[in-house]
Amino acid sequence: MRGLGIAMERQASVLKRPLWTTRELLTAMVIAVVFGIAVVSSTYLYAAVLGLGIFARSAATGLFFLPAAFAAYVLRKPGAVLLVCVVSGLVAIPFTPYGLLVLGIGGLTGAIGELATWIVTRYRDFGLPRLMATGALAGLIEFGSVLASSLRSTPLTPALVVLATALSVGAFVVAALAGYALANAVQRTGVLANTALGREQMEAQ
Amino acid sequence: MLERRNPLSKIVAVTPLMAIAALAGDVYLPLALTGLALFTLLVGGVAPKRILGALIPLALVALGFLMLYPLIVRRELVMHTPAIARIGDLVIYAGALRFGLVAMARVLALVSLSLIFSLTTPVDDFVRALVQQARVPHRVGYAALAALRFAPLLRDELAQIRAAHRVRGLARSGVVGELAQARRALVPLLASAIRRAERAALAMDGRAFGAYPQRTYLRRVTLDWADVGLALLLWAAAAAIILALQALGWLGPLSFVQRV
Repeated sequence: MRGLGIAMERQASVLKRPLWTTRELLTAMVIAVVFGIAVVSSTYLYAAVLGLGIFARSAATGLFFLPAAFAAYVLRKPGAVLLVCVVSGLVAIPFTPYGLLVLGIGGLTGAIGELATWIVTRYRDFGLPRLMATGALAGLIEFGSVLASSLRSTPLTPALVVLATALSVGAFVVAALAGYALANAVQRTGVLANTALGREQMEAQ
Repeated sequence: MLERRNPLSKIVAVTPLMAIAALAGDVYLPLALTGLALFTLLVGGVAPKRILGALIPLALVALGFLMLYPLIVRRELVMHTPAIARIGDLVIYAGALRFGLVAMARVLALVSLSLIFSLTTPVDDFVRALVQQARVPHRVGYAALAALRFAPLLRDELAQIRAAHRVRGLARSGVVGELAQARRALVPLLASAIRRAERAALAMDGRAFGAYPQRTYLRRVTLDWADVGLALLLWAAAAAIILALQALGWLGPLSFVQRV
């Protein structure tokens, strides 16, 4: 009996509830795959837009924040934004020659989105104003960390840099709004019942 | 040949080269790195047709940089250089054109170097390498692999949803129409994908997925001396290029910030 008890104890320690359940992991992954598929065709458009300069780039990068906003609002778990953004970049690798760059942009947007989500929401309050603030902060950090340096901001006039910053912030806020609206639309189909968003809606009802 | 190399070794090999290309202040270094990337791809057994297919859209992007930069560069940086064209009040200086050329060359180099990874790496092997060599938790890695298996199915489903919308006369042209169409397609696609994910998660849990910390592998991705050799060869070639350009005086500054 004692042997059985020890075996059960070992089994219980092995089978303790993980931070992410398989269901949550798979849900995050398929959200990433769907957005990855949607983003693949737009990578060519994005590459073309890059040639139009810093303003078009600032506006278009917000597109990559859409999966981040959706994942943050639906899953509400630390790491969800980063995971979804990286995997949606992974999906692009076989379908586009810009795969590694898309993965890099996905990883960077995910890391910035995760940081902004942590700062603004602390994974507790996911109301629309906070989600928009998350988008605005992510847009600001993204512009500051990548665009200003990689496109060598110094050859541009300060007024143009301010305008491009505003565009970047605006694009990320629009992406956050779109993610919020899309998540609510999907929630109405009932498939998100097992996610944090679904549970919150059930409790509210 | 490149397809057999460990995906992580390719990333480790090209990342420093991409960083150097991003810092380049003159056209010669990024153009030489572009040449190195194309040579590596050809020697590595990638069909020229595939390389061209990836580079043609890129050439249009690079051309856009060349045309736009001369118009937006700050004047005091370039007004000491000769004026080469006047359009009304707008003066195009030779220095501004050089900014455009450098930006174009940097984009060419960055994407060409990234092709060494993206044209030769099956995404499944990349995820396996992340789990086996980079110590990414296997629950995360294999959940990603399971979800990536859905990608072709979901692509077909997206096509079917769009076809169904067209049959019902919901297709609209124009940017607003396209956006509305994308939203209409994303909602059923996400709903269907999440249902699939839940079924897959149940099946995986039923087979004790992730129940134990140890993991065995059906397919192993190896990391051997050939992978190390690839990285060392690419770095040595890049170092030789930099030294040669330095000796010729064509290297230019390596910096994010352009000074007057």
